[in-house]
Amino acid sequence: MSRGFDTERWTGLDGLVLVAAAAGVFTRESSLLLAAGLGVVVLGYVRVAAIPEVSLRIERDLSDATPDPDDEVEVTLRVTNEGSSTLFDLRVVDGVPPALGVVDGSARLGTALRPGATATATYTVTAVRGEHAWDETVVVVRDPSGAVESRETVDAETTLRCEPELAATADLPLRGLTSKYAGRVETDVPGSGLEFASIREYRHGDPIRRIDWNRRARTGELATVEFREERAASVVLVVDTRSEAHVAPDDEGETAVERSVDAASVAFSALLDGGDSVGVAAFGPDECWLAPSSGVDHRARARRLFATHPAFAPTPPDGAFFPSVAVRRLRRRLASDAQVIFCSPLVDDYGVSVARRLEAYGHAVTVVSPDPTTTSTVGARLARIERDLRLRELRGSGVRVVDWGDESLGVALARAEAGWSR
Amino acid sequence: MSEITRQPTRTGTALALSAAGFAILALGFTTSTAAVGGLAATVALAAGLVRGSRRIVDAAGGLFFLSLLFAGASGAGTEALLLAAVGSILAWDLADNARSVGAHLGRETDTRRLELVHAAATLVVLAVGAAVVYGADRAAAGGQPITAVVLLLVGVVALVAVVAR
Amino acid sequence: MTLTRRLFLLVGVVATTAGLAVVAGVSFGLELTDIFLGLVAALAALQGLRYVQRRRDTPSNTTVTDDPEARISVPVPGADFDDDLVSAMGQGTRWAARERVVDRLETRAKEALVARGGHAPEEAAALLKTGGWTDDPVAARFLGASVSIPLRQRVRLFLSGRSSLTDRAERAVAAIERVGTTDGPAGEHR
Repeated sequence: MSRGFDTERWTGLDGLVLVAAAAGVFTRESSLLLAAGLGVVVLGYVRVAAIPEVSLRIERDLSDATPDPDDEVEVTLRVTNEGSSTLFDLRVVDGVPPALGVVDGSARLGTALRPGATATATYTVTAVRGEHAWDETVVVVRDPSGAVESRETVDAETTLRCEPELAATADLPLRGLTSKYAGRVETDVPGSGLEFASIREYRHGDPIRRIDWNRRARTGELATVEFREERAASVVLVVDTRSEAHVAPDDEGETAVERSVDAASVAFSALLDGGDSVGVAAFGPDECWLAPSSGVDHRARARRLFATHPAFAPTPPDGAFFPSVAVRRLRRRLASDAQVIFCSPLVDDYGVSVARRLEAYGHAVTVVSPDPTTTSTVGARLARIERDLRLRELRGSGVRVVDWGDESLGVALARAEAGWSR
Repeated sequence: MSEITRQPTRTGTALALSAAGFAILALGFTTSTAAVGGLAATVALAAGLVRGSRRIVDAAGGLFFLSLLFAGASGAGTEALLLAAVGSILAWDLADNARSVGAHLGRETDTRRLELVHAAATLVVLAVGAAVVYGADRAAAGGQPITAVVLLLVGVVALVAVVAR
Repeated sequence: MTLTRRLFLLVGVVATTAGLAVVAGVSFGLELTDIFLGLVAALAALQGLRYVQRRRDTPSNTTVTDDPEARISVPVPGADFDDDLVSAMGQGTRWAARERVVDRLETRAKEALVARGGHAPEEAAALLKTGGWTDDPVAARFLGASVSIPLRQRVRLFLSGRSSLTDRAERAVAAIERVGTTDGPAGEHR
């Protein structure tokens, strides 16, 4: 069969055979001629080398198809020869999803398979938030002499879905992130949810109920009481998912986008618990928008979104992105009184401009910024300086910024809050 | 673990060096120079396997070949030379395969079955070939006239040109 | 099979059969001299060496497998600056890369002087020109100040082998890091 290509492995053996034969004639030694004859036999073996039809079946089993983050999942790969000929030299490389890393065992396997035989490989991956699908498995087939090789692929659909619970820790200091007092409202009934705000001069037409009778009794003046309604805030968590935001200080640990999504999911849960209506948006090539709302269904929807939406995947996107279009679209979708919590590492200047523009449009913006910078090289140190300058610029223009370094999110929020209340 | 180590496999290295040892042993029954050549070739083979270099492994194969030539030219016995040839070809083949498997699969994978099957196949072919050639030599009794030798040589040259890929 | 192959096959079969026939005892009545033998052997050896030489010119032709086991790796912030530094020291794209490096450092130094040092933008530009923004003359000079480095220091720098572009850029970055801290030159605001 003319399957596969020539590896050129045995190139040059024919030359050695000739030299040996010539030497044998020259020295009249028959032993050398015999050695040359042996070489001819090997050349014949190489000449008839061929790869049979390759028909393989792959099965992949996961010890847990829906793990929690950082759980170790054992993957068992079974390769079966479904053809009618023996495959003498089989080298298999499994298509582990790009966001997952193998921590134990080997995702590769080398064997010889008779028809109907099965070989197994077992390895362990660490689960990471998201929906991960396995790529095609690459198989390299060779004939026993190694002279002919063929590269084939086999598919077996397997998906690992890691959807962490949206449970905020009870002690998360989120008060400073949103302002509870959304605006002044005139309502008839002072009751729960209303707080005394101020007294002003009576204007013709104010409702009788609102007149401050105490003052009338004391001084004879007419004055109207105003209340502020403690209204639930509408908050949108915007996560920076542009390719520029996909950075990390090293190869271990989470990327900046993963940390931003961590912060957003924690904030989502805490704000929802606090009675606010919360929405989610992604600022990047992959669009994602979940309008602010509340309730159990909404929480479940958000949990699924954070875990499985391609916008929040840990792998960098490769689509085209038009930032000004995205900002306009975001502006259209945001309600006029919506507050924004922008989760971004701020490793480029555009992130800063997004925050400032949203603030300029009238939305209260708080930035939660995970710090992905390091000091390992000159460029890295400069990037740290640049990010620091950006944070200062934002703070200078009135935007609140939470700088989240290596500590836990709770500690970072507490530290930021302490700074704001000074 | 993350990235695999793309170096020649341990199993393959062990097998290749065993075959090389066998070749040295066989060469030991010829001249001492050839045996030293075989030793040098084995050292080169080991070096090539440590560094994962195709060139050095090929050079080791060349050294084995030169040792065989020298042994044959110095009047070695047919049996010893054939056994040394089998050992040398096997050693080179197993070393190159170890390099190839290491590049494809890495050291961390268990490749014993794969490499043993390959070694067995090559060994069978070499053994059968040696037996056939030896048998033909035994069947042809006595010294041969020069014409026969020349004709056989020309025949071999032509057949090699046909048979080579 | 091609014509040459057919020819070789014919010659091969005929010669081998004749040779075996002579071995078996049939005589063709031919006598060949040693010189002829030597010639044939030499030709065969030469052809053989040509075939062996072919091996050196043919690369190993095999599949290359990639690394699915590793987690996809994303860049470190500031990697583009490091790439520019490498380009600035190499051939080809030297000057463009060097300009980018210096421009970026200048901009950040000015911003740092304004944001951390509390200077006005014009003050910052002036400080950069005079080199008064830092006490490191190498850094000041790298960002365009016409500051002279004392000869002894220059010699020491040259001898220590730390005078490459990367090292000077590193000193500039370190100097920018110090802007606004108490380690800056006297008279800095906090």
